[in-house]
Amino acid sequence: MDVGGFGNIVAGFTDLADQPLMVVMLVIGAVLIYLGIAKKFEPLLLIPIGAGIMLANLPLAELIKPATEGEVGGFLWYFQKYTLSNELLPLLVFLGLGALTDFEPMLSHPRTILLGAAAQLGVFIAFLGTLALGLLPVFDFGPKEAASVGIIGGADGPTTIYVATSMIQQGGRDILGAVAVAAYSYMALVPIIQPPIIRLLTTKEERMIKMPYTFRPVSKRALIIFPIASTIVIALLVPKAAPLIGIMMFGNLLRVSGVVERLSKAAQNELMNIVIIFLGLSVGSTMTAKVFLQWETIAIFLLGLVAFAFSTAGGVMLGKLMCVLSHRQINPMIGAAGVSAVPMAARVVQAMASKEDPSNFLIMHAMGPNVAGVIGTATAAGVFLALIN
Amino acid sequence: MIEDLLVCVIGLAVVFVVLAVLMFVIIGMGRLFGGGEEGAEDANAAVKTKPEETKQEPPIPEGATELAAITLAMASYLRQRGRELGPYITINNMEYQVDVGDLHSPPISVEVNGEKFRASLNGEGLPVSTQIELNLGIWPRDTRRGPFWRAACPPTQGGYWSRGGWTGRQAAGMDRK
Repeated sequence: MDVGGFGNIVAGFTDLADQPLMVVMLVIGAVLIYLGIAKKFEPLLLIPIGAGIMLANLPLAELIKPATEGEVGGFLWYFQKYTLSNELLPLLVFLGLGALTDFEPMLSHPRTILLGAAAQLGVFIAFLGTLALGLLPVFDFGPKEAASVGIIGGADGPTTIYVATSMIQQGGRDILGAVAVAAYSYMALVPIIQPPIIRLLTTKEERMIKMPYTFRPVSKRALIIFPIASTIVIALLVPKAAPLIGIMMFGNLLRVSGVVERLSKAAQNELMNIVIIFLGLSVGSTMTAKVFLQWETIAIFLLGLVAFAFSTAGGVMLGKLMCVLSHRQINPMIGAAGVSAVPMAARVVQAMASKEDPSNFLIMHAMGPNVAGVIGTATAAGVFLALIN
Repeated sequence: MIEDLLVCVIGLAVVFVVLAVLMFVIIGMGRLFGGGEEGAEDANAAVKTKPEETKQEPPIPEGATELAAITLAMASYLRQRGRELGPYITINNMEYQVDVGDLHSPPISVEVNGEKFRASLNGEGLPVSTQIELNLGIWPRDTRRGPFWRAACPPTQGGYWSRGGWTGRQAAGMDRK
């Protein structure tokens, strides 16, 4: 009998005993899976991420083992190397998002677009907050990490992953897992985070303002030209945002062209689903105990909450200003929908409006800033990528 | 730290500028291709210019709808009595040229001084019975024969007029005082 072979059988227990923090990561992975299944918190992302965490933290770390000469690496390492670290997956998610997004509410009421810009306030507040925390010796945050944390305030998971991955490529710390989980967790918690902030900043009279919805049909020509024109405009103004905006608008062009329904459906469903599986597993697999169980992770979660809160507040404050300037024709609550959690933020606004007055319908007005927020977050990401080296 | 503040200020400003430019692009597209807010304003402007274009046409009297309603009521009243409305009606010493279409087939077309209206009652024409067109005028004796000439008094009331004199109730002396 080979005694060495018997040692290999129990090697997993030995490794687990040597690295007890792996158990904590397994518990975290299990909690994310539980939240996805039982609480329905962004299950499409949290279940693959939770599974990725558990797979990456199995004893001996076989699944994330890098390839060496003459030895094949773990399959999760290949996922990371060939799909995540080259920013491919978040871009493909943006393709699907573009195919799923209906820009018509924004095109028919263009004045609400600016609310999507105001709702990026939290991105920059959290950026400053992260840098301020970085002054403390406990936290190792620089501008690159601050950009990754700040973008959580945009409430846009793929953009957050894109920026965090780009910053890692530029020499930043690997905080991808923490910012991704924070972003998706807070996106799921939008119905809990936003209402108290909206109530704090608005009066009951303001919340009861009715905005009669006049359907203004948008011509098909305008729907087709918009993705092309916006790509060119944004690429000229913020070239670093061109990959995100370009691929998203390409997806939207597939949708509105009306002649490539197969491609549009594929981008919305099959491609999106496949990409989400790879993205979730890849992001989860970056969260090893050594990387994730740091003081910075707690700070990232706190700063993410701050970012969300200030983004909501920024949108509502501009909404209040527009309410005054328009002689109370605009309900300031629709500004909160400027955070790009589509369509969750718009639904929250509608729910609050219905609570104050059951005959008040704001959902269509809120969808405009909501989709504008996606463009705003991508632009903010482009600004960070351009200004921070 | 000042650099970081600048990143924030410039960043937020750039986001506003990009979305503002997009807003103007969308408004411009609305003007060019229709739809959107500005497109709707254009549509309103087009409606506003319409009366100026139609200035040459004869003026439509105020309250034309009320005139049409009066015309329709008059036509209906006259039809009930077996008569037709003429081409003119006079209200407050003002004469209006009118024309009313078929009262039985909806929508009923009513024309007042060239202004056309279409009226209906729950999607139907006016409930004008053809029976009321019966001419109940007094005819010389023996000039008309047949049932409707004899039906001066409905049979349900117990009598009718015939060449032989009153029948039914009257013949039985029921109507005598």
